[in-house]
Amino acid sequence: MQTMKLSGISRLILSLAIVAGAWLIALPWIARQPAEHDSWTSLNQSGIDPSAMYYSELEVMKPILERINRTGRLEK
Amino acid sequence: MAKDAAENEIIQARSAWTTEDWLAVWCGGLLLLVAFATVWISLPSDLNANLDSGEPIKISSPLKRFLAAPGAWGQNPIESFLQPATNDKPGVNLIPGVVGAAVVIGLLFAAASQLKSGDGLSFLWAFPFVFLLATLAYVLAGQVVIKHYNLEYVLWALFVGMLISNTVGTPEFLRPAMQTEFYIKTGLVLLGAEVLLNRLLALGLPGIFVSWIGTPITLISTYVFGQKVLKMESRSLNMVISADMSVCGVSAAIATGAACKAKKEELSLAVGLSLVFTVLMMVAMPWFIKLIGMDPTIAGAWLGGTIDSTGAVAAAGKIVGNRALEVAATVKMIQNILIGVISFGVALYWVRYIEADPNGDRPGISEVWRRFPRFILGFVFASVVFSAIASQLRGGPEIVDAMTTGSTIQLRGWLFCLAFVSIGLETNFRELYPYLKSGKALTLYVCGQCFNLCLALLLSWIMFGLVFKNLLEK
Repeated sequence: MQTMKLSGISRLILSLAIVAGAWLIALPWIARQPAEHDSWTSLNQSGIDPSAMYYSELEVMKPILERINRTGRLEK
Repeated sequence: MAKDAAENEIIQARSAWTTEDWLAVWCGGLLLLVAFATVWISLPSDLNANLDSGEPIKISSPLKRFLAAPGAWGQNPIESFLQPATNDKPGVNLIPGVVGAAVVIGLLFAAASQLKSGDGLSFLWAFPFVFLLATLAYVLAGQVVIKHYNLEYVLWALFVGMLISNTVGTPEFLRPAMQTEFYIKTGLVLLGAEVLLNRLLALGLPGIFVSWIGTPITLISTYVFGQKVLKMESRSLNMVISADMSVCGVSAAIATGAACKAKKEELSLAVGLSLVFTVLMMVAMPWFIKLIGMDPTIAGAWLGGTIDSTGAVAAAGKIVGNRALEVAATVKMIQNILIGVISFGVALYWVRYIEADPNGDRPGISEVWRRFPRFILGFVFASVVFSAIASQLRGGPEIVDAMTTGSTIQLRGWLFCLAFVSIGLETNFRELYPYLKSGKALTLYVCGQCFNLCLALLLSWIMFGLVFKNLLEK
């Protein structure tokens, strides 16, 4: 049986089509689901970016550090 | 003859200062200087009065509008760049910021490439294409579901690069702009300004104990386990996995990978492992904590001490509660600051012991200095200088925050993104296969993380549950 081999361009187009399907259809659909939407909104409103690489990228650190500096306490 | 020798000496001295390491220090230093100067000259005139009266002060960087990365989007990728105004938020246009970042990095690195190897023009020709791929990676990473599960932009940068290299192949003309190490080294010098040592004491002694005692113990134990038990062939892979698992994920992998000269495939593998386990841990740990009803302070310290990625720590802490969020994020911040010391220590250890001739004497101080990676010095120097500014200047923390959040964080992000696009463009899937086949990397990560989970829980319980139980409430 002869194996079908795709050319480089065909493989790129196929990969891009899969990426487009995932990012333009599947992920937006998941984002619309109530549980996902509520969870993301709650994190966003709290200044939390779950993909932050370093503490300086987290908005939520600013009020935490200000409170610690001002009162020496964390939220109860 | 004497004239020739003198000219040779001048050329050698000049070329020593234009090595990639030194150029990374100059480029990073220049960017930090400009970023700081623009904030300094735009300080509000009533700053001192506001500080005296205890009024909140607002400082921002004038560069903020001109330096940005694509943002979060849910339904339409265009929202990454353009967001319409709503009742509670003004409209956002990030296109000038993205173009600004491309112009700044493109021109600076073209000049550096010219000094380094005389191919500044080839860099300028190739750079816009590599930057476009990095922009695509940022857009993929910006989808809210992807962001929610901590799948950081470096993963998508790697993916986008590999998509090209493993399908149509990487075009030759792109190679001058694929400067992986140079982007990473310069990005690390910029990161130095965010490593503020004065924030170490934010949680007092218990915070330092969990972060600065537990983390090095885990790192060294995991490294020794990899060498003695698993007999890992690659010491650098062993070290990068140990560091990203015990310190703070991707940023620690990048810093230690550069310090121990890890191969690009090793860095990719370590980052991939860290991100996969971060997703699992940020979902499973809050569930387990709630199930057993763990004290939120201890839970926060445990989350902060174990989950690799900083953003994921905050997200997991939020699920447990506000108290856990604050302790978790602060413990992680203290751990984040450790990467300066860790990367310095790793670089020193590598030069002194790993790169030394096994049959010869250990290198002396002058040899260690000659081989020591200069960009690590730039990284540590930036950390010391900006820690001093934050602690000594009036309004120092606000000035440094305005500088980093307004400009250098965006530039550092682009540089790491460009580095991982370059790695992807140079990586063939087949090159990763031998690393996956032996399973040692996965075993090392799993065993190290199990040890980390136990040690961090023990230390969190001792420090926050027993010894200093009431300290944070006083």
